[in-house]
Amino acid sequence: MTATSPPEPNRPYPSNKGSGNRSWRRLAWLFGSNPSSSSFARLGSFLFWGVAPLLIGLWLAQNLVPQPAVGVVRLYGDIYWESADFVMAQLEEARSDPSIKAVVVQLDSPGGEVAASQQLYLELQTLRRQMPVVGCIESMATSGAFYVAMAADPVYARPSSTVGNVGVWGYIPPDLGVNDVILASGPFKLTASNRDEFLRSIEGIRLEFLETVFSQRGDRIKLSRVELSQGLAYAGREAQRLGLIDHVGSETDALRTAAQQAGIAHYQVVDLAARVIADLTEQDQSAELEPWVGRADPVTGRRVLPPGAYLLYDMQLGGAP
Amino acid sequence: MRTRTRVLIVAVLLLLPIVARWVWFNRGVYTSPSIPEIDESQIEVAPPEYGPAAQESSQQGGRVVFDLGHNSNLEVDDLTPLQDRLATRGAILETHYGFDASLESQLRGAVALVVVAPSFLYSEWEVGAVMDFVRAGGRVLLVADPTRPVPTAEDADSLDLGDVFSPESAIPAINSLANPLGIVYFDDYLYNLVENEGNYRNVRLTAGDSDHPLAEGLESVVFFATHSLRSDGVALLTGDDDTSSPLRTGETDLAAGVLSADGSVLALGDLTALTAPYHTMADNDRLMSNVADWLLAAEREFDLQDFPYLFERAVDLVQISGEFLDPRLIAKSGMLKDILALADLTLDLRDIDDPDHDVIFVGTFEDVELVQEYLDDAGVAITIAEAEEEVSTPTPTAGEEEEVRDTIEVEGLGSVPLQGTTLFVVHRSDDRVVVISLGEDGDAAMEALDRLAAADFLGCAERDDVLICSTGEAEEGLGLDEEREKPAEETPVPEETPQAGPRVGSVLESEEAMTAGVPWLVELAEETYDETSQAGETYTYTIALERSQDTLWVYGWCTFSEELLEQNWEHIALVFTLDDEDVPLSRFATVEFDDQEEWCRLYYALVTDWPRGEHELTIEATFDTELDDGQEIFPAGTHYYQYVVTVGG
Repeated sequence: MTATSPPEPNRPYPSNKGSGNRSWRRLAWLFGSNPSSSSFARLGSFLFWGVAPLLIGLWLAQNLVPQPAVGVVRLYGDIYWESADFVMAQLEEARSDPSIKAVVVQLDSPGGEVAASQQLYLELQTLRRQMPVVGCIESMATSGAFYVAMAADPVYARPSSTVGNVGVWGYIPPDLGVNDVILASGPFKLTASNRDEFLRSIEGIRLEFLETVFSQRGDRIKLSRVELSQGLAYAGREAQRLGLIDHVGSETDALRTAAQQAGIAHYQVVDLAARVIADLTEQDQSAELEPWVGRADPVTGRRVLPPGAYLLYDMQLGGAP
Repeated sequence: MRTRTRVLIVAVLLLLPIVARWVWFNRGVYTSPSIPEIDESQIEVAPPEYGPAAQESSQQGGRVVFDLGHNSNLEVDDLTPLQDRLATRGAILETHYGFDASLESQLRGAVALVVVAPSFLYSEWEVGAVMDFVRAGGRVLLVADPTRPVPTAEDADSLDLGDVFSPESAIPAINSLANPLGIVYFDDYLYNLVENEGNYRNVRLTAGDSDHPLAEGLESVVFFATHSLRSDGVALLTGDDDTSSPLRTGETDLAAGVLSADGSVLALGDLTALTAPYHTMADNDRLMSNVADWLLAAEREFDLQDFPYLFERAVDLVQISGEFLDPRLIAKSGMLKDILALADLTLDLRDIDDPDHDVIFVGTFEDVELVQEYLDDAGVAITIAEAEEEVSTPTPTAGEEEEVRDTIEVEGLGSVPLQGTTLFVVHRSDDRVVVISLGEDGDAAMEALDRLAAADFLGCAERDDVLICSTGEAEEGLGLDEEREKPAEETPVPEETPQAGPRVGSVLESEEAMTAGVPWLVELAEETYDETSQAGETYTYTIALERSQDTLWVYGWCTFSEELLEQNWEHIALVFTLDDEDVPLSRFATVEFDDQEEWCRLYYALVTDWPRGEHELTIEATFDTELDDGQEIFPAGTHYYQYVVTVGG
């Protein structure tokens, strides 16, 4: 009571005024208006000392504390240098936007080139040191796409998503021999490999893949290394039972989990792929917007995946193989 | 105080929205999780270890035929290691390409046959030839490989993954020969995810029967993608419990190397293990050496059908009848020399045989004193009626009291008249091979030599080492006795009358021959014609065959639309003759196909078993009206194709 007592205690409060009137008077006092001042002056003082700071505070809050966002990174189609670059651009967008506190990686891919898949896996792991990365498998994440998914935790999939297909394959290098046209400095200079080295390379990548899965999934995985080496793909529900993924759920579930991990609420969802495309379009109106949404290399037309995975992928897209 | 309070309140009002907003949006702080690292020690791949086995070869010798006549899916040097192993053991290596000689004729001198990754089916008569070869002690190595399907036309610019992942299996081809020999190839591959050689499909195998010579020294063999096999014989190479087949799920003890029940056929499911450098991995090299030893250890029995390969040393040709040397024998000896040269043997015409040489005795039935002991040993008795004495009587004849005729009696075969008959007897001992060739007179004796040279014993009756053949000149009613005049099936003389000309195969045989790529007569001819369908013309083709071989006799007509083909053929009449005998159209197989916008129909027949000499085949093609093939008009009328085929020079 003392603290709120007016400095002139000998002046009685008007008893014939309501409490609002009393508050007004107190505020006016607080902001230095003389009670004897005019109402206009008191109002001005109130606006200056009370409302203006609040409005400024609101403006500052808007700018200093942006609404947090969960970024959605999309990896669709084959994984090769161009589609990997597109995903890398989305990740860069996530890093550079301070409002993005978590990322959900939407996967719908039959896999692709080893190096490109490993690049994405490592980039996502790096990002995961900054913010949560949650995986969300749509129709398919097999082979290299499943490898990429191992950088996310947890991983969601639909009940009938196609998941797994651990392993690698490649074309056996030809034995070019020698001829009278080209002179190379070594027997394998032209091919950079031979059948034995290629076999070892394939085996090394297989082991790397297995170790990646087992290191990231830990005790959750219920398959042995031998079983996983078979290269089978599983339906989402079965994949969850076997510990290849964590949950059967939707994209919304994945977003919610990402937000929870990031410790944010009332977040917005940012489509990073759309943002990258918009940026590209802004830079070059003639830019090819969706060169990566293909099942073959758009330049060479050469398919880089085994027909089994292609077939599944094509069927799920509803297109002809 | 008042100012300080104001400032405080202003500050609060400024910060309040910020704090409230932060609290509204944030519920905590993200802490980076501990991301597990992979265990790099688990990603070490051991390099392959190559270790060629020491050569421990012994000179065994023997002729080995490699069958490449069935569109084998091979790289140039695939067979080099195995051929090297065989060559170092003194083997003579021959290749059957399928167009210059029949498989049967090439197997005559062989101890072993190697069949690798075929993609064409084996015909019935080829299978029969191989089975005869096996029954005679020959050994067969069959090799197929899941990575060697039916080869497709190669296009260097593009790789069709459809062809790579869904190739046409070559299993039917290998099984067309393996199945009759008691072995089944499965259209699968073996894999092992637990213990393997760098890849799941590179499986380690161990010897199922360690006592078998083929398993000697084998601890572990690596096959680089292999079919699984089954036979009633020994499972030579088997995988462990973790070795599986995607086709034979649930089965264990899967074998990739088996022997047939009689032990004469070895089947392997992988070719790569025999190729460089993979033959030097694990004990593969030892396996290959064992296979080479095993092939050459065949105890092949050569008989007259294998002429000239039944001889083992220099051969003397000796005339046993007559006072003077028949001058025709000098010419025949030249021919026989050439044929014996195929077996790396020499021949000399002599009046008396060298006891250190093998020998061919040639003569007539009337004077067999020189070879009587051999005839006796073979159970052959020759009776000459005019002489009214039995030259040799090793067995009593049923008709002693009846009228005596000129006959040959062979134990187990009975009696046949001398007239129109030639006799061949083989006598073997440790130090020489004796062949006796007899006819009723000099002409018949020379013909018998021709038959011997061509190893043409089709239609002859055989008992052990005795063959009786008919020259087709027997007089009507000339039987040996009353019993012999009964229906033909009761006579020892073959039912099939020896033919003067070559044999026209059945429709089925012709179809198989076409599939097997048997050459057409026109392909073997010296002449080629740009235009072959002009009325009134005769197109002559001259063909020289060194010896009998399978050929196809073909007439075809093509048009540029399917409708025209039907219409044209309604106006085409064909007459085929073989050595002046009509061959009905029903004996010909037929096929229709379209090829690069042309529609064609062919009539074709297999012609085989060519006797020596000249033969003429003709086709008379008559167009009863003008024919339009869609591009050209052909006048009505008849044109002729004449094939003059000379066999044996």
